[in-house]
Amino acid sequence: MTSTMTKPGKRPKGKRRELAPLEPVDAQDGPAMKALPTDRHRAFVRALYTVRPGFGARVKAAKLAGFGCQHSTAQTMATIASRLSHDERILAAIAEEDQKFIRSSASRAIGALSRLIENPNAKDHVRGIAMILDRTMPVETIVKMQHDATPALRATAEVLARIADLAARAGVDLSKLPPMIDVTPVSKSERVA
Amino acid sequence: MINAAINDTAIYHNGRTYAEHCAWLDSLVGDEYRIVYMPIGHLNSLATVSHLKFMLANLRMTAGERLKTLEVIDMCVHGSVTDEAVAAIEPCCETGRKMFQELNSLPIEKQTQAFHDGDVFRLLAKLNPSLLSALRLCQFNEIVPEQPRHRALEILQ
Repeated sequence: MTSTMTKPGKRPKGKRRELAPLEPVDAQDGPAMKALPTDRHRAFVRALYTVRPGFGARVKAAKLAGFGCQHSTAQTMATIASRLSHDERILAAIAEEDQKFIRSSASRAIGALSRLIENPNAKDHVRGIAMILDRTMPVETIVKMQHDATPALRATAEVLARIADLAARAGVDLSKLPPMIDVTPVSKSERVA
Repeated sequence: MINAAINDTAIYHNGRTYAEHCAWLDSLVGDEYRIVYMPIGHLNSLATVSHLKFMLANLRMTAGERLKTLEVIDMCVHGSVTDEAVAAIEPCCETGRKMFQELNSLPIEKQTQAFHDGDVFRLLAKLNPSLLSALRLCQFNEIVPEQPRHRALEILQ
């Protein structure tokens, strides 16, 4: 092997891949993406999902989005990328895109799940079945709660009789207790009458 | 704990070796025996009854509140705690009320344990001797000894 040979698939150094123009597919951006000031900002958010994750990913996304210039130093690009990725508007757009990615991945996840339950040798075969059954025929838990908000404990004759009974059993002299709040004490003359 | 029971010098319980602990248990008579051998939950119940009776005697309540308080007192009649014991309990004093206030500020799992660790019942019984009278009216599975137990004499007999 000679030194002049290059590995297959390796890009020549010094030449960056340029962004391919977006095809007009009439896709609508969400409100957070629309709220971004320029298309470069939107391109930065999109590039965050396409560049290889790891050290320098945000700088690469900023470069792909067209931020900086040919003479921008690495430090300058790092500053630009940091400021962009900590911008509240960008953060809101990232959160919106996250939701989109998850929602759009649901169909693939369901496809993978259906392949999983078709394969009885798969490690998580039973788990996949349980997931589907949980969503189609969930186990119902019925919690019966009884909240007694009726005014049953008002000073009715029954309640007073029960109080007298319990007080006698507990050795409590009712005549020595202070009067109850919701009971008007009867005077001796009225009691005699 | 088992090792401490085998070892003559190791602390077995409450700063006592196993032999000392056995000797202490054998020395218990009367009310001390009842306090030690009564489950701490029942001691807590007896003390709570005195607090509830204080509340009945000093706080103005609605009929519903009074009924609920009396029902809680009635629920304390359980196991060893008899009707007569509950009826014999007098309301606690103001100092006792403050002690209960402190006790109720503890987490629920520590409130009953306080009767085990801090000898709260002895302190409350000093303030309210009717608690000891109530304890005497509780049921015990064994006869409460009036004399210290002498195991050596029991073997000779």
